Amino acid sequence: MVGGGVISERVATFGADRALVGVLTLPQSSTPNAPALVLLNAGVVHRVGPNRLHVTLARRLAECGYPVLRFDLAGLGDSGARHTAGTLVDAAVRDTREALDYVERALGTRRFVVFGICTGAQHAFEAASADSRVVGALMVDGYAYRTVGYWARHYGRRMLRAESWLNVVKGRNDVGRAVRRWFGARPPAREQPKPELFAFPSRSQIAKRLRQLADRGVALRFIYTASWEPYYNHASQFNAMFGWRGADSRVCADYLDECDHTFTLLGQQAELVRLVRDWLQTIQGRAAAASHASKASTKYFAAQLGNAI
Amino acid sequence: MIQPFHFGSGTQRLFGAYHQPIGDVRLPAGVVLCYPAAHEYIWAHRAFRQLAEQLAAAGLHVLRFDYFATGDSAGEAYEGSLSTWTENIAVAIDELKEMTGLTTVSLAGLRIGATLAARAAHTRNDIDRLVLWDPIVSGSTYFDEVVSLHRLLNVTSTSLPLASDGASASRQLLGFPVTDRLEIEMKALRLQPGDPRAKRVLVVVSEERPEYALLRLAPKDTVGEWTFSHVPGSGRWDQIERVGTALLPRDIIVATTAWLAAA
Repeated sequence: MVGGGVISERVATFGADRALVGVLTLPQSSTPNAPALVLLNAGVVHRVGPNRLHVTLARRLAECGYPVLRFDLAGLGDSGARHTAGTLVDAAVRDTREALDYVERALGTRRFVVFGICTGAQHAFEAASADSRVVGALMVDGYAYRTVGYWARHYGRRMLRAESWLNVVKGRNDVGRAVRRWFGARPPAREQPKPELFAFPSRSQIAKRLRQLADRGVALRFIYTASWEPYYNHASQFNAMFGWRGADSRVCADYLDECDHTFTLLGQQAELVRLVRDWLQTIQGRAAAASHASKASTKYFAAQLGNAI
Repeated sequence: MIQPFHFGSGTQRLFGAYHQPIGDVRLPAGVVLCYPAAHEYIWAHRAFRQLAEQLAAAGLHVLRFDYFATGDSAGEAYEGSLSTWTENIAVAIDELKEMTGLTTVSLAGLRIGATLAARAAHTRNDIDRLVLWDPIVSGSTYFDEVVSLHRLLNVTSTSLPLASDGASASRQLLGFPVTDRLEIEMKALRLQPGDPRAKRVLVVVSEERPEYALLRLAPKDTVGEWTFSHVPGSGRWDQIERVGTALLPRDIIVATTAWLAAA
Protein backbone atom coordinates (compact mmCIF):
# COMPACT_ATOMS: atom_id res chain seq x y z
CA MET A 1 0.00 0.00 0.00
CA VAL A 2 1.63 3.23 -1.07
CA GLY A 3 -1.05 5.86 -1.00
CA GLY A 4 -4.62 6.33 0.09
CA GLY A 5 -5.98 3.34 -1.82
CA VAL A 6 -4.98 -0.31 -1.72
CA ILE A 7 -2.34 -0.45 -4.42
CA SER A 8 1.19 -1.77 -4.46
CA GLU A 9 4.41 -0.83 -6.22
CA ARG A 10 7.39 -2.87 -7.23
CA VAL A 11 10.68 -2.00 -8.83
CA ALA A 12 10.99 -3.20 -12.42
CA THR A 13 14.27 -3.86 -14.23
CA PHE A 14 14.04 -5.14 -17.78
CA GLY A 15 15.46 -5.01 -21.28
CA ALA A 16 18.91 -6.14 -22.35
CA ASP A 17 21.16 -6.48 -19.27
CA ARG A 18 18.11 -5.37 -17.26
CA ALA A 19 19.39 -1.87 -17.86
CA LEU A 20 15.98 -0.20 -17.96
CA VAL A 21 14.56 0.82 -14.58
CA GLY A 22 10.95 1.52 -13.70
CA VAL A 23 8.28 1.19 -11.07
CA LEU A 24 5.15 -0.90 -11.68
CA THR A 25 2.07 0.26 -9.80
CA LEU A 26 -0.55 -2.43 -9.41
CA PRO A 27 -4.19 -2.23 -8.44
CA GLN A 28 -5.51 -4.60 -5.79
CA SER A 29 -7.50 -6.34 -8.50
CA SER A 30 -7.41 -5.57 -12.17
CA THR A 31 -10.55 -4.51 -13.98
CA PRO A 32 -11.68 -6.63 -16.97
CA ASN A 33 -10.47 -5.19 -20.30
CA ALA A 34 -8.34 -2.63 -18.44
CA PRO A 35 -5.31 -1.75 -20.55
CA ALA A 36 -1.96 -1.25 -18.84
CA LEU A 37 -0.62 2.28 -18.94
CA VAL A 38 3.03 3.06 -19.71
CA LEU A 39 4.34 6.52 -18.80
CA LEU A 40 7.26 7.84 -20.85
CA ASN A 41 9.89 10.39 -19.79
CA ALA A 42 8.96 14.04 -20.21
CA GLY A 43 12.13 15.45 -21.75
CA VAL A 44 15.07 14.69 -19.46
CA VAL A 45 12.98 14.51 -16.30
CA HIS A 46 13.29 11.06 -14.78
CA ARG A 47 10.34 8.72 -14.46
CA VAL A 48 8.66 10.43 -11.48
CA GLY A 49 7.67 13.13 -13.96
CA PRO A 50 7.61 16.89 -13.67
CA ASN A 51 6.27 17.87 -10.25
CA ARG A 52 6.07 14.11 -9.45
CA LEU A 53 3.12 14.02 -11.83
CA HIS A 54 3.80 10.49 -13.12
CA VAL A 55 3.75 9.10 -9.58
CA THR A 56 0.44 10.83 -8.91
CA LEU A 57 -0.99 9.58 -12.22
CA ALA A 58 0.21 6.02 -11.64
CA ARG A 59 -1.25 5.79 -8.15
CA ARG A 60 -4.60 7.43 -8.94
CA LEU A 61 -5.10 5.26 -12.03
CA ALA A 62 -4.06 2.09 -10.21
CA GLU A 63 -6.72 2.92 -7.64
CA CYS A 64 -9.17 2.76 -10.55
CA GLY A 65 -7.95 -0.70 -11.59
CA TYR A 66 -5.25 0.11 -14.17
CA PRO A 67 -1.72 -1.29 -13.89
CA VAL A 68 0.80 1.47 -14.61
CA LEU A 69 4.51 1.32 -15.44
CA ARG A 70 6.65 4.43 -15.27
CA PHE A 71 10.19 3.88 -16.49
CA ASP A 72 13.30 5.63 -17.72
CA LEU A 73 14.44 5.40 -21.31
CA ALA A 74 18.05 4.26 -21.71
CA GLY A 75 20.44 6.91 -20.43
CA LEU A 76 17.78 8.84 -18.53
CA GLY A 77 16.96 8.68 -14.81
CA ASP A 78 18.26 5.40 -13.40
CA SER A 79 18.40 3.45 -16.67
CA GLY A 80 21.74 2.48 -18.15
CA ALA A 81 22.95 4.13 -21.34
CA ARG A 82 23.10 2.15 -24.57
CA HIS A 83 25.22 2.81 -27.60
CA THR A 84 23.25 1.67 -30.60
CA ALA A 85 22.64 2.88 -34.11
CA GLY A 86 19.60 4.94 -35.02
CA THR A 87 18.00 8.13 -33.81
CA LEU A 88 16.93 8.98 -30.27
CA VAL A 89 13.34 8.39 -31.35
CA ASP A 90 14.25 4.91 -32.65
CA ALA A 91 15.90 4.18 -29.30
CA ALA A 92 12.85 5.43 -27.40
CA VAL A 93 10.55 3.20 -29.46
CA ARG A 94 12.81 0.19 -28.82
CA ASP A 95 12.88 0.89 -25.07
CA THR A 96 9.11 1.35 -24.97
CA ARG A 97 8.63 -1.96 -26.77
CA GLU A 98 10.79 -3.62 -24.09
CA ALA A 99 8.65 -1.99 -21.41
CA LEU A 100 5.52 -3.44 -23.04
CA ASP A 101 7.22 -6.85 -23.24
CA TYR A 102 8.01 -6.66 -19.53
CA VAL A 103 4.45 -5.80 -18.52
CA GLU A 104 3.05 -8.45 -20.85
CA ARG A 105 5.28 -11.08 -19.25
CA ALA A 106 4.48 -9.88 -15.73
CA LEU A 107 0.73 -9.42 -16.07
CA GLY A 108 -0.31 -11.19 -19.24
CA THR A 109 -1.92 -8.11 -20.74
CA ARG A 110 -1.54 -7.35 -24.43
CA ARG A 111 -3.41 -4.02 -24.46
CA PHE A 112 -1.47 -0.88 -23.69
CA VAL A 113 -1.95 2.84 -23.50
CA VAL A 114 1.13 5.04 -23.73
CA PHE A 115 1.33 8.50 -22.18
CA GLY A 116 3.90 11.23 -22.61
CA ILE A 117 4.53 14.93 -22.20
CA CYS A 118 6.75 16.90 -24.61
CA THR A 119 9.28 14.44 -26.11
CA GLY A 120 7.29 11.77 -24.28
CA ALA A 121 4.31 12.68 -26.48
CA GLN A 122 6.43 12.28 -29.59
CA HIS A 123 7.67 8.91 -28.36
CA ALA A 124 4.13 7.82 -27.46
CA PHE A 125 2.96 8.55 -31.01
CA GLU A 126 5.90 6.68 -32.51
CA ALA A 127 5.46 3.71 -30.16
CA ALA A 128 1.77 3.53 -31.03
CA SER A 129 2.70 3.46 -34.73
CA ALA A 130 5.33 0.77 -34.21
CA ASP A 131 3.62 -1.66 -31.85
CA SER A 132 0.21 -3.20 -32.47
CA ARG A 133 -0.29 -3.86 -28.76
CA VAL A 134 -0.81 -0.12 -28.22
CA VAL A 135 -4.55 0.57 -28.21
CA GLY A 136 -4.31 4.17 -27.07
CA ALA A 137 -1.89 7.08 -26.81
CA LEU A 138 -2.33 10.24 -24.81
CA MET A 139 0.08 12.96 -25.83
CA VAL A 140 0.61 16.27 -24.06
CA ASP A 141 2.31 19.02 -26.07
CA GLY A 142 3.44 16.72 -28.86
CA TYR A 143 3.37 17.13 -32.62
CA ALA A 144 1.90 20.48 -33.66
CA TYR A 145 2.12 22.58 -36.80
CA ARG A 146 1.45 26.25 -37.28
CA THR A 147 -1.48 27.04 -39.55
CA VAL A 148 -2.77 30.24 -41.16
CA GLY A 149 -5.17 30.53 -38.25
CA TYR A 150 -2.28 30.11 -35.81
CA TRP A 151 -0.38 33.04 -37.31
CA ALA A 152 -3.53 35.19 -37.46
CA ARG A 153 -4.16 34.61 -33.75
CA HIS A 154 -0.48 34.93 -32.86
CA TYR A 155 -0.08 38.34 -34.48
CA GLY A 156 -3.65 39.40 -33.65
CA ARG A 157 -2.92 39.00 -29.95
CA ARG A 158 0.36 40.87 -30.32
CA MET A 159 -1.45 43.81 -31.87
CA LEU A 160 -3.39 44.18 -28.65
CA ARG A 161 -0.19 44.57 -26.63
CA ALA A 162 1.28 48.03 -26.02
CA GLU A 163 4.77 46.48 -26.08
CA SER A 164 4.30 45.41 -29.71
CA TRP A 165 3.47 48.97 -30.78
CA LEU A 166 6.48 50.26 -28.85
CA ASN A 167 8.62 47.82 -30.82
CA VAL A 168 7.12 49.21 -34.06
CA VAL A 169 8.11 52.73 -33.02
CA LYS A 170 11.62 51.62 -32.06
CA GLY A 171 12.00 49.44 -35.17
CA ARG A 172 12.57 46.29 -33.16
CA ASN A 173 10.10 44.06 -35.00
CA ASP A 174 9.46 43.31 -38.69
CA VAL A 175 6.76 45.96 -39.05
CA GLY A 176 8.88 48.59 -37.30
CA ARG A 177 11.87 47.80 -39.52
CA ALA A 178 9.69 48.04 -42.65
CA VAL A 179 8.36 51.43 -41.55
CA ARG A 180 11.90 52.70 -40.94
CA ARG A 181 13.04 51.53 -44.35
CA TRP A 182 9.97 53.21 -45.93
CA PHE A 183 11.11 56.51 -44.48
CA GLY A 184 14.68 55.90 -45.59
CA ALA A 185 16.02 55.28 -42.10
CA ARG A 186 18.28 52.38 -41.26
CA PRO A 187 16.51 49.90 -38.98
CA PRO A 188 18.31 48.34 -36.00
CA ALA A 189 20.01 45.02 -36.65
CA ARG A 190 17.64 42.10 -36.69
CA GLU A 191 17.90 39.77 -33.71
CA GLN A 192 18.94 36.22 -34.43
CA PRO A 193 15.78 34.12 -34.82
CA LYS A 194 15.30 31.63 -32.02
CA PRO A 195 16.05 28.07 -33.10
CA GLU A 196 13.14 25.67 -33.31
CA LEU A 197 12.72 23.67 -30.12
CA PHE A 198 11.95 20.44 -31.96
CA ALA A 199 12.45 18.99 -35.41
CA PHE A 200 9.07 17.41 -36.09
CA PRO A 201 8.41 15.18 -39.10
CA SER A 202 6.43 16.91 -41.85
CA ARG A 203 2.82 17.68 -41.19
CA SER A 204 1.67 15.46 -44.09
CA GLN A 205 3.65 12.52 -42.70
CA ILE A 206 2.04 12.82 -39.29
CA ALA A 207 -1.43 13.36 -40.79
CA LYS A 208 -1.03 10.18 -42.84
CA ARG A 209 0.14 8.14 -39.86
CA LEU A 210 -2.61 9.60 -37.72
CA ARG A 211 -5.11 8.23 -40.23
CA GLN A 212 -3.38 4.84 -40.22
CA LEU A 213 -3.52 4.68 -36.42
CA ALA A 214 -7.19 5.64 -36.42
CA ASP A 215 -7.91 2.97 -39.04
CA ARG A 216 -6.14 0.45 -36.79
CA GLY A 217 -8.59 1.42 -34.04
CA VAL A 218 -6.03 3.14 -31.80
CA ALA A 219 -7.57 5.78 -29.53
CA LEU A 220 -5.56 8.99 -29.72
CA ARG A 221 -5.88 11.98 -27.43
CA PHE A 222 -3.82 15.07 -28.04
CA ILE A 223 -3.60 17.64 -25.27
CA TYR A 224 -2.06 21.04 -25.82
CA THR A 225 -1.28 23.50 -23.04
CA ALA A 226 -0.75 27.26 -22.99
CA SER A 227 3.01 26.66 -22.88
CA TRP A 228 2.87 25.16 -26.40
CA GLU A 229 2.03 28.60 -27.81
CA PRO A 230 5.09 28.57 -30.08
CA TYR A 231 3.24 25.80 -32.00
CA TYR A 232 -0.39 25.72 -30.95
CA ASN A 233 -2.77 28.43 -29.79
CA HIS A 234 -6.40 27.47 -30.30
CA ALA A 235 -8.74 24.54 -29.77
CA SER A 236 -9.64 24.47 -33.48
CA GLN A 237 -6.03 24.16 -34.64
CA PHE A 238 -5.88 20.37 -34.42
CA ASN A 239 -8.54 19.87 -37.10
CA ALA A 240 -6.93 22.55 -39.25
CA MET A 241 -3.40 21.16 -39.10
CA PHE A 242 -4.32 17.53 -39.79
CA GLY A 243 -7.39 18.06 -41.96
CA TRP A 244 -9.28 16.14 -39.31
CA ARG A 245 -13.03 16.49 -39.40
CA GLY A 246 -13.71 14.95 -36.02
CA ALA A 247 -15.84 12.19 -37.53
CA ASP A 248 -13.95 9.51 -35.61
CA SER A 249 -14.44 9.79 -31.86
CA ARG A 250 -11.31 7.72 -31.28
CA VAL A 251 -9.22 10.77 -32.14
CA CYS A 252 -9.68 13.94 -30.13
CA ALA A 253 -7.75 16.98 -28.99
CA ASP A 254 -8.01 19.34 -26.04
CA TYR A 255 -6.58 22.79 -25.63
CA LEU A 256 -5.94 23.47 -21.94
CA ASP A 257 -5.22 27.17 -22.15
CA GLU A 258 -4.96 27.57 -18.37
CA CYS A 259 -2.40 24.80 -17.90
CA ASP A 260 1.35 25.02 -18.35
CA HIS A 261 3.63 22.42 -19.89
CA THR A 262 4.40 20.62 -16.60
CA PHE A 263 1.05 21.13 -14.86
CA THR A 264 2.64 23.16 -12.12
CA LEU A 265 -0.45 23.96 -10.11
CA LEU A 266 -2.03 21.15 -8.11
CA GLY A 267 -5.45 21.90 -9.56
CA GLN A 268 -4.03 21.39 -13.07
CA GLN A 269 -2.52 18.07 -11.99
CA ALA A 270 -5.88 16.92 -10.59
CA GLU A 271 -7.58 17.99 -13.83
CA LEU A 272 -5.12 15.95 -15.90
CA VAL A 273 -5.63 12.87 -13.71
CA ARG A 274 -9.40 13.21 -14.12
CA LEU A 275 -9.08 13.64 -17.88
CA VAL A 276 -6.84 10.59 -18.30
CA ARG A 277 -9.01 8.45 -16.02
CA ASP A 278 -12.23 9.34 -17.86
CA TRP A 279 -10.60 8.75 -21.24
CA LEU A 280 -9.28 5.34 -20.15
CA GLN A 281 -12.76 4.37 -19.03
CA THR A 282 -14.05 5.33 -22.47
CA ILE A 283 -11.44 3.12 -24.15
CA GLN A 284 -12.24 0.30 -21.77
CA GLY A 285 -15.94 0.70 -22.46
CA ARG A 286 -15.32 0.43 -26.20
CA ALA A 287 -13.19 -2.67 -25.66
CA ALA A 288 -15.91 -4.25 -23.52
CA ALA A 289 -18.52 -3.49 -26.18
CA ALA A 290 -16.25 -4.91 -28.88
CA SER A 291 -15.60 -7.99 -26.77
CA HIS A 292 -19.35 -8.42 -26.21
CA ALA A 293 -20.01 -8.02 -29.94
CA SER A 294 -17.23 -10.48 -30.69
CA LYS A 295 -18.69 -13.06 -28.29
CA ALA A 296 -22.14 -12.50 -29.80
CA SER A 297 -20.67 -13.07 -33.25
CA THR A 298 -18.95 -16.23 -32.06
CA LYS A 299 -22.25 -17.53 -30.67
CA TYR A 300 -23.99 -16.60 -33.93
CA PHE A 301 -21.41 -18.42 -36.03
CA ALA A 302 -21.45 -21.40 -33.65
CA ALA A 303 -25.24 -21.53 -34.02
CA GLN A 304 -24.93 -21.32 -37.80
CA LEU A 305 -22.35 -24.11 -37.78
CA GLY A 306 -24.60 -26.15 -35.49
CA ASN A 307 -27.48 -25.77 -37.90
CA ALA A 308 -25.28 -26.72 -40.78
CA ILE A 309 -24.10 -29.84 -39.00
CA MET B 1 25.39 -0.94 -12.39
CA ILE B 2 22.51 0.56 -10.43
CA GLN B 3 20.48 -1.72 -8.20
CA PRO B 4 17.10 -0.16 -7.51
CA PHE B 5 15.06 -1.48 -4.57
CA HIS B 6 12.61 -0.58 -1.86
CA PHE B 7 13.59 -0.57 1.79
CA GLY B 8 12.21 0.62 5.11
CA SER B 9 9.19 -0.64 6.92
CA GLY B 10 5.40 -0.66 6.79
CA THR B 11 3.75 2.24 5.02
CA GLN B 12 7.03 4.16 4.83
CA ARG B 13 8.71 2.13 2.08
CA LEU B 14 11.53 4.14 0.54
CA PHE B 15 12.95 3.87 -2.97
CA GLY B 16 16.70 3.42 -3.07
CA ALA B 17 19.33 3.07 -5.77
CA TYR B 18 22.47 1.24 -4.70
CA HIS B 19 25.71 1.66 -6.66
CA GLN B 20 28.26 -1.01 -5.87
CA PRO B 21 31.97 -0.19 -6.17
CA ILE B 22 33.35 -0.81 -9.63
CA GLY B 23 36.89 -1.05 -10.89
CA ASP B 24 39.99 -2.39 -9.20
CA VAL B 25 39.88 -0.27 -6.07
CA ARG B 26 37.40 -1.27 -3.34
CA LEU B 27 37.41 1.09 -0.38
CA PRO B 28 35.91 0.06 2.95
CA ALA B 29 33.65 3.10 2.77
CA GLY B 30 30.13 4.02 1.79
CA VAL B 31 28.17 7.20 1.16
CA VAL B 32 24.48 7.98 1.58
CA LEU B 33 23.38 10.77 -0.76
CA CYS B 34 20.68 13.12 0.51
CA TYR B 35 18.62 14.85 -2.19
CA PRO B 36 17.24 18.36 -2.03
CA ALA B 37 13.44 18.65 -1.95
CA ALA B 38 10.57 19.43 -4.31
CA HIS B 39 11.55 21.20 -7.57
CA GLU B 40 15.23 21.09 -6.62
CA TYR B 41 15.00 17.27 -6.34
CA ILE B 42 13.82 17.05 -9.96
CA TRP B 43 16.60 19.41 -10.99
CA ALA B 44 19.33 17.54 -9.11
CA HIS B 45 18.44 13.91 -9.91
CA ARG B 46 20.80 13.71 -12.88
CA ALA B 47 23.68 15.25 -10.93
CA PHE B 48 23.15 12.79 -8.07
CA ARG B 49 23.32 9.84 -10.44
CA GLN B 50 26.56 11.22 -11.86
CA LEU B 51 27.97 11.79 -8.37
CA ALA B 52 26.99 8.26 -7.33
CA GLU B 53 28.62 6.75 -10.42
CA GLN B 54 31.81 8.74 -9.85
CA LEU B 55 31.95 7.61 -6.23
CA ALA B 56 31.32 3.96 -7.21
CA ALA B 57 34.07 4.24 -9.82
CA ALA B 58 36.37 5.48 -7.04
CA GLY B 59 35.61 2.31 -5.09
CA LEU B 60 32.86 3.41 -2.68
CA HIS B 61 29.47 1.89 -1.91
CA VAL B 62 26.74 4.46 -2.59
CA LEU B 63 23.08 4.64 -1.69
CA ARG B 64 20.86 7.43 -2.93
CA PHE B 65 17.24 7.32 -1.91
CA ASP B 66 13.97 9.23 -2.06
CA TYR B 67 12.55 10.61 1.18
CA PHE B 68 9.07 9.50 2.21
CA ALA B 69 6.39 11.21 0.08
CA THR B 70 8.95 12.21 -2.56
CA GLY B 71 10.15 10.60 -5.79
CA ASP B 72 9.32 6.89 -6.03
CA SER B 73 8.95 6.38 -2.27
CA ALA B 74 5.60 5.70 -0.66
CA GLY B 75 3.45 8.56 0.53
CA GLU B 76 1.51 11.41 -1.00
CA ALA B 77 3.34 14.67 -1.55
CA TYR B 78 1.42 16.45 1.23
CA GLU B 79 2.60 13.85 3.78
CA GLY B 80 6.24 14.96 3.69
CA SER B 81 7.89 16.68 6.64
CA LEU B 82 11.44 17.59 7.61
CA SER B 83 11.34 15.46 10.75
CA THR B 84 10.26 12.40 8.72
CA TRP B 85 12.96 13.04 6.12
CA THR B 86 15.61 13.29 8.85
CA GLU B 87 14.43 9.93 10.21
CA ASN B 88 14.58 8.55 6.64
CA ILE B 89 18.27 9.49 6.44
CA ALA B 90 18.89 7.44 9.58
CA VAL B 91 17.03 4.48 8.03
CA ALA B 92 19.12 4.81 4.85
CA ILE B 93 22.37 4.90 6.85
CA ASP B 94 21.38 1.69 8.64
CA GLU B 95 20.35 0.10 5.34
CA LEU B 96 23.72 0.82 3.70
CA LYS B 97 25.59 -0.45 6.77
CA GLU B 98 23.53 -3.64 6.75
CA MET B 99 24.01 -4.17 3.00
CA THR B 100 27.76 -3.69 3.10
CA GLY B 101 28.85 -4.65 6.60
CA LEU B 102 30.43 -1.24 7.07
CA THR B 103 30.51 0.16 10.59
CA THR B 104 30.65 3.81 9.56
CA VAL B 105 29.38 5.65 6.49
CA SER B 106 29.58 9.15 5.06
CA LEU B 107 26.79 11.52 4.10
CA ALA B 108 26.60 13.97 1.20
CA GLY B 109 23.62 16.30 0.93
CA LEU B 110 22.59 19.09 -1.39
CA ARG B 111 20.57 22.16 -0.31
CA ILE B 112 17.98 21.04 2.23
CA GLY B 113 19.43 17.52 1.97
CA ALA B 114 22.70 18.95 3.33
CA THR B 115 20.98 20.61 6.26
CA LEU B 116 19.03 17.45 7.09
CA ALA B 117 22.18 15.34 6.74
CA ALA B 118 23.93 17.59 9.26
CA ARG B 119 20.96 17.22 11.57
CA ALA B 120 20.95 13.41 11.16
CA ALA B 121 24.70 13.27 11.77
CA HIS B 122 24.37 15.29 14.96
CA THR B 123 22.79 12.41 16.87
CA ARG B 124 25.05 9.61 15.60
CA ASN B 125 28.61 8.47 16.10
CA ASP B 126 28.93 6.35 12.97
CA ILE B 127 29.36 9.17 10.45
CA ASP B 128 32.80 9.31 8.92
CA ARG B 129 32.62 12.24 6.52
CA LEU B 130 29.94 14.78 5.77
CA VAL B 131 29.55 16.89 2.62
CA LEU B 132 27.35 19.98 2.82
CA TRP B 133 26.79 21.10 -0.79
CA ASP B 134 25.15 24.52 -1.13
CA PRO B 135 23.44 23.96 2.23
CA ILE B 136 20.30 25.80 3.33
CA VAL B 137 21.52 27.86 6.28
CA SER B 138 18.22 29.62 6.97
CA GLY B 139 15.01 27.75 6.20
CA SER B 140 13.05 30.97 6.45
CA THR B 141 15.15 32.68 3.75
CA TYR B 142 14.88 29.56 1.59
CA PHE B 143 11.12 29.49 1.95
CA ASP B 144 10.86 33.14 0.89
CA GLU B 145 13.05 32.41 -2.16
CA VAL B 146 10.81 29.56 -3.23
CA VAL B 147 7.70 31.71 -2.82
CA SER B 148 9.32 34.39 -5.02
CA LEU B 149 10.23 31.79 -7.65
CA HIS B 150 6.70 30.44 -7.65
CA ARG B 151 5.22 33.87 -8.23
CA LEU B 152 7.69 34.50 -11.04
CA LEU B 153 6.87 31.19 -12.69
CA ASN B 154 3.16 31.81 -12.54
CA VAL B 155 3.51 35.21 -14.13
CA THR B 156 5.71 33.90 -16.92
CA SER B 157 3.77 30.73 -17.66
CA THR B 158 0.06 30.81 -16.97
CA SER B 159 -0.73 33.85 -14.84
CA LEU B 160 -2.67 31.63 -12.49
CA PRO B 161 -2.80 32.75 -8.86
CA LEU B 162 -1.21 30.98 -5.95
CA ALA B 163 -4.01 28.51 -5.36
CA SER B 164 -5.12 26.40 -2.45
CA ASP B 165 -5.49 22.62 -2.56
CA GLY B 166 -8.28 22.34 -0.04
CA ALA B 167 -7.67 20.26 3.04
CA SER B 168 -4.53 18.48 1.96
CA ALA B 169 -2.21 21.48 1.90
CA SER B 170 -2.29 25.06 3.04
CA ARG B 171 -0.55 26.22 -0.11
CA GLN B 172 1.45 25.04 -3.07
CA LEU B 173 4.83 26.05 -4.31
CA LEU B 174 6.35 25.18 -7.67
CA GLY B 175 4.24 22.10 -8.23
CA PHE B 176 4.27 20.69 -4.71
CA PRO B 177 1.88 21.05 -1.78
CA VAL B 178 3.12 22.75 1.37
CA THR B 179 1.33 21.83 4.56
CA ASP B 180 1.26 23.99 7.66
CA ARG B 181 3.56 21.49 9.34
CA LEU B 182 6.13 21.60 6.56
CA GLU B 183 6.03 25.39 6.40
CA ILE B 184 6.53 25.70 10.16
CA GLU B 185 9.39 23.19 10.11
CA MET B 186 10.96 24.87 7.10
CA LYS B 187 10.87 28.35 8.60
CA ALA B 188 12.35 27.09 11.86
CA LEU B 189 15.20 25.26 10.10
CA ARG B 190 18.68 26.61 10.70
CA LEU B 191 22.05 25.07 10.01
CA GLN B 192 24.08 25.77 13.13
CA PRO B 193 27.85 25.53 12.81
CA GLY B 194 27.87 23.04 15.67
CA ASP B 195 25.31 20.73 14.00
CA PRO B 196 27.58 18.56 11.91
CA ARG B 197 29.16 15.79 13.96
CA ALA B 198 31.49 13.88 11.70
CA LYS B 199 35.17 13.08 11.64
CA ARG B 200 35.58 15.32 8.59
CA VAL B 201 33.27 17.96 7.14
CA LEU B 202 33.39 19.52 3.67
CA VAL B 203 31.29 22.59 2.96
CA VAL B 204 31.30 23.01 -0.81
CA VAL B 205 29.48 25.98 -2.32
CA SER B 206 28.92 26.89 -5.95
CA GLU B 207 28.50 30.58 -5.23
CA GLU B 208 29.44 32.84 -2.36
CA ARG B 209 26.53 33.91 -0.16
CA PRO B 210 26.56 36.05 2.99
CA GLU B 211 25.08 33.23 5.09
CA TYR B 212 28.03 30.99 4.25
CA ALA B 213 30.32 33.29 6.26
CA LEU B 214 29.72 31.36 9.47
CA LEU B 215 30.57 28.09 7.70
CA ARG B 216 33.96 29.27 6.44
CA LEU B 217 35.81 28.38 9.60
CA ALA B 218 35.48 25.34 11.79
CA PRO B 219 33.18 25.94 14.76
CA LYS B 220 34.83 26.01 18.18
CA ASP B 221 33.36 22.73 19.36
CA THR B 222 33.92 20.87 16.11
CA VAL B 223 35.03 17.29 16.60
CA GLY B 224 36.99 16.78 13.39
CA GLU B 225 38.51 18.37 10.30
CA TRP B 226 36.58 21.19 8.64
CA THR B 227 37.05 22.29 5.01
CA PHE B 228 35.28 25.10 3.18
CA SER B 229 35.58 25.14 -0.60
CA HIS B 230 34.14 27.47 -3.24
CA VAL B 231 33.83 25.64 -6.56
CA PRO B 232 32.10 27.97 -9.06
CA GLY B 233 29.23 26.21 -10.80
CA SER B 234 25.49 26.06 -11.34
CA GLY B 235 24.60 27.60 -8.02
CA ARG B 236 21.91 30.10 -8.91
CA TRP B 237 19.10 28.25 -7.21
CA ASP B 238 16.91 31.34 -7.26
CA GLN B 239 16.84 31.68 -11.05
CA ILE B 240 13.59 30.90 -12.79
CA GLU B 241 15.39 29.52 -15.84
CA ARG B 242 16.67 26.67 -13.70
CA VAL B 243 13.23 25.27 -12.93
CA GLY B 244 12.54 22.23 -15.10
CA THR B 245 16.11 21.84 -16.30
CA ALA B 246 18.88 19.48 -15.21
CA LEU B 247 21.76 20.47 -12.96
CA LEU B 248 25.16 19.45 -14.33
CA PRO B 249 27.81 20.72 -11.91
CA ARG B 250 30.79 18.74 -13.17
CA ASP B 251 33.44 20.52 -11.11
CA ILE B 252 31.63 20.08 -7.82
CA ILE B 253 31.03 16.40 -8.55
CA VAL B 254 34.74 15.91 -9.27
CA ALA B 255 35.80 17.82 -6.15
CA THR B 256 33.32 16.03 -3.89
CA THR B 257 34.30 12.61 -5.23
CA ALA B 258 37.99 13.34 -4.70
CA TRP B 259 37.37 14.50 -1.12
CA LEU B 260 35.21 11.50 -0.20
CA ALA B 261 37.58 8.98 -1.78
CA ALA B 262 40.78 10.49 -0.38
CA ALA B 263 42.61 8.48 2.27
